Amino acid sequence: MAKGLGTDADKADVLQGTLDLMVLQALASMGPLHGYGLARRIEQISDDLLKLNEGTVYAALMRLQHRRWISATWGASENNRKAKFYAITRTGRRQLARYTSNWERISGVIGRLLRTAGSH
Amino acid sequence: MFGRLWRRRRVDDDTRAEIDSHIELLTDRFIRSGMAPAEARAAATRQFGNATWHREQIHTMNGIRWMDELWQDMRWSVRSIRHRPTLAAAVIVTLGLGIGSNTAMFSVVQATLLQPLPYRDADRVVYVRSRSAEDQSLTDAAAEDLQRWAPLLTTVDRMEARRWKSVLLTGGEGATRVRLLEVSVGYLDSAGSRVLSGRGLHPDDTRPGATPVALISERLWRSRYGARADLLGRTITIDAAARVIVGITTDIRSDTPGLRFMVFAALPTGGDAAKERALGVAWLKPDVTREAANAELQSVSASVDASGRAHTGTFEEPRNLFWRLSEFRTSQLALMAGVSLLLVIACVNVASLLLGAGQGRAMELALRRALGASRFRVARQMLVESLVLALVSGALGLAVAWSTLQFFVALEPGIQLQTQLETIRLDAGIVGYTIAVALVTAVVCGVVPALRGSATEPRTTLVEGSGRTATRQSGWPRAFVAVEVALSLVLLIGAGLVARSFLQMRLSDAGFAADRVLGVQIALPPDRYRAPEQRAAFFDDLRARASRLPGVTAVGFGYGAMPPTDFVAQGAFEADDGQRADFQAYLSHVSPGYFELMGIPLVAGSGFEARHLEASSASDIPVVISSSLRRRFWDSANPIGAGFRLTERGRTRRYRVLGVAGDASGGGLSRANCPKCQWQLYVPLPANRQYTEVLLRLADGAPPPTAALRVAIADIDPSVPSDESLRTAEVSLHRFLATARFRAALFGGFAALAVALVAFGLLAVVYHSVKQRTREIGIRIALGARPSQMRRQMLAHGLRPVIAGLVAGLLLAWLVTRTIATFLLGISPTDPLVFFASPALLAVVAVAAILGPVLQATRLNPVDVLRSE
Repeated sequence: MAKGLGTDADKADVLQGTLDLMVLQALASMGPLHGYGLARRIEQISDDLLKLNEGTVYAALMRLQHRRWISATWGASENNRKAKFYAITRTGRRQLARYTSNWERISGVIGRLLRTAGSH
Repeated sequence: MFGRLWRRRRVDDDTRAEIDSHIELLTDRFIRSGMAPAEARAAATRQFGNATWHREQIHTMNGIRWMDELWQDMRWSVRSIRHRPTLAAAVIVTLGLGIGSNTAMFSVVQATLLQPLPYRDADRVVYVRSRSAEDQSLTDAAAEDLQRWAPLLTTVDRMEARRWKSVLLTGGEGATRVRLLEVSVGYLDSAGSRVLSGRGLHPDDTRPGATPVALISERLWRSRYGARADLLGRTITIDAAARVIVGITTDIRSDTPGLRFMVFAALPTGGDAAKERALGVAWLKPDVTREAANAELQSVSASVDASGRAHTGTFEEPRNLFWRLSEFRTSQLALMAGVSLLLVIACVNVASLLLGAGQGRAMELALRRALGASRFRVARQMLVESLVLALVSGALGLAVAWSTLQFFVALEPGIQLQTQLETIRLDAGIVGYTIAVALVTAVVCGVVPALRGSATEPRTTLVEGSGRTATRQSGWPRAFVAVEVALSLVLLIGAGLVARSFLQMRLSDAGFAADRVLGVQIALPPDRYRAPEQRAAFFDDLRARASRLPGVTAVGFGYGAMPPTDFVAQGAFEADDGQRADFQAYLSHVSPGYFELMGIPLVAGSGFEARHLEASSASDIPVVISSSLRRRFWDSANPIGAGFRLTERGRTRRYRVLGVAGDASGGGLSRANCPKCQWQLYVPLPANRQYTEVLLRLADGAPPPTAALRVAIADIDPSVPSDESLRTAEVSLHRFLATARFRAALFGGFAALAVALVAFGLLAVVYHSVKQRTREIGIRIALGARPSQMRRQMLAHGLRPVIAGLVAGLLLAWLVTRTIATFLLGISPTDPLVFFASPALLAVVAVAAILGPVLQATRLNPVDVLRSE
């Protein structure tokens, strides 16, 4: 089932993996958040370097829910409206750890590559 | 997965709410940082991005793409089927007939063989029977044996026993035949019956000398006694023995459909009655396997039974009577196999039709591939198409099944089965079965065409389609033809064997004047005819009145004397000259003049005279034997005056041969050509029996005076039942033949359908192949090829798979026909005539089917062909 999901979007969105990682990381460190809070948190961490189309967050949240990496419950937001609060699950945490180490390895490789590229 | 699809709409509403809330929060934030509300809203919307697009993204993620596409495929299929109505009709009719006949036969098998057992904890039930040490044959065990074994077994929770017989129930309400079930004390409870009033059976009831008691079923209580409350304690007469009604129980379901038990009595635990056989029903302890239990039973039960036969007890899988009648079972299962074979043939036929159509659609499929449809998608599309076709065929199949069942009923397939067929309804189970068959059919029929069709290479097909190059021909259709021919041949040979065996029964001489003998069974109510003189007076009166009826030339009496008889003498045979045998012969009690009346010739010696009836029980019983029996034991010697002993159930009787009669069909015509089945003993009938057959010999051309005979009986005593048994011997035999006729008609029908399918399939395949080659043929003829030569070549080409199929079919048939040998009487399962005629018939049909399109193609004017492209 998961295989057939949103395969077209996967191809297009280069940032997707990164966004998933950021969402998981934010939920892991901040506890349950709703979509707006998540957008703010990502904005804050990236020091506005990353201009996010905030709607994209919801696609990421849905994707992560399908994979059962996060769960959602209804609650009330600051302006007292119905809002969904997302929390990371245990599988989500495991996935985050895997993601993180993977990311560090790749960024390390790319960093080395970029540093050595000019010496030839 | 489906839940997600159903929830999709709600999720969308949720997403919308979430997004609205998000944008509002963002707007508030911008307002707090000093923007004007309208400006803030615009900025928030901008920062969020296209809300509708995001919602759509999420919507798609929640969808199940293949379901959406499946729906699309379905609509597309329906459209594509509508575009080719002839093909669709051919497929639907073919499959509808295949599925329908399958469903009909399945519902018969289900209603007869596959009835669930009526017991509590039915999954642990086994039947206990007796296996002969000599020939391994199975029979019910003697009731006393069952009683002896039960306490010795540690693998069994408990054991019950039962036996049933047809009895005459008499009393103030008139005489009627009902089925009496004699049971061990706990049986009724295990079979789910409750006592409605009075009491159930008690161990004391089984003791010899106890007051005989009976329980009656609720049904009998209502139908015969009008549900009256004061019935308990009343005495009723069952087969001349008085029994006190002590209880009324709920009806119990029998394990054999159609067997309805009305009266229950205790199975005797002592005396001669306990030597009679009964069916043991045992409950294995949980987790005990039948093998383990069997090992134990065999070790404790090995003994010699009451009829002097070494045997052991054995636990058998609990099967109902229909199943245990091996001829009936084999026949049902063979018909089921035949009908499944037919469905496979229909399937292959449809596959080749679809394949042929797929070739016609090659252009369309190639276009779809070229426009970017994946191979998977095209294959699935085609499978969905066959699925839609199969489901429509399934609906047609249900209609076919229903009318087939009506047809079965009209065929009168034997009395037991017939009552059963009328009660068959196409219930949820049957409909479910049909749908399942249709789905399997869809996959089986559709998979090859789908794979072939989707394998279309767009480039080559589009080029070939232009008609400028030679077309590659697929090997599949020809393989299908071979398979179809092989399977049809198996079916045809099976049907041929069954039909020949049936015809033999019909054609063989009944051995007596079957159409000139009218018989009726008379059961005198025992309470009114207690004294032998009363009975003798009744029969004297009846003889006098019957002989005055128009067309009647002689009147006689008998017991088991009206063919086909089901009375058997069975036991250890020992002739005075030392010959011994395990003996079984039909037994008829007959009055003087019987042989002349029946038209059975006396070959040697003489028939009975009045003096033989008074023979004292001390002397030898005079007996007339059949010619087959004489040939077995006194082939060269003079049998007249020869003596022999027969030991049945521990009781020995001495016989002395008085005469030899011609073989007559006492056991029924289906036993033709089976010498042992023609063994028959005739012994004198005491004049004053309670239960008797009256036999009338009719003058040539005289119509049977059935109504007048009924009136004559009622005139003497209206309380004497002259039941439905009043019929001529011919009708009796005809009824006896009904099962065989049913079988022959069904097999014949299936085979005819199979041959028609083969012809149709061949025609379609050859037609397609010829059509593809029309242009080539045109060119060849234009270049000077002679049409006759072309025809020969194409015929040979078309016949090659047929010949392969015939060879394979002959081998297959040779392997499988022996399984139906049980009901092939009088012919071998590899009967040469059938094995020669069936392939010949198929070959002729095949040649005809191939020649049609070939002749048409080679007659065409080449100029027209080339121009039409």
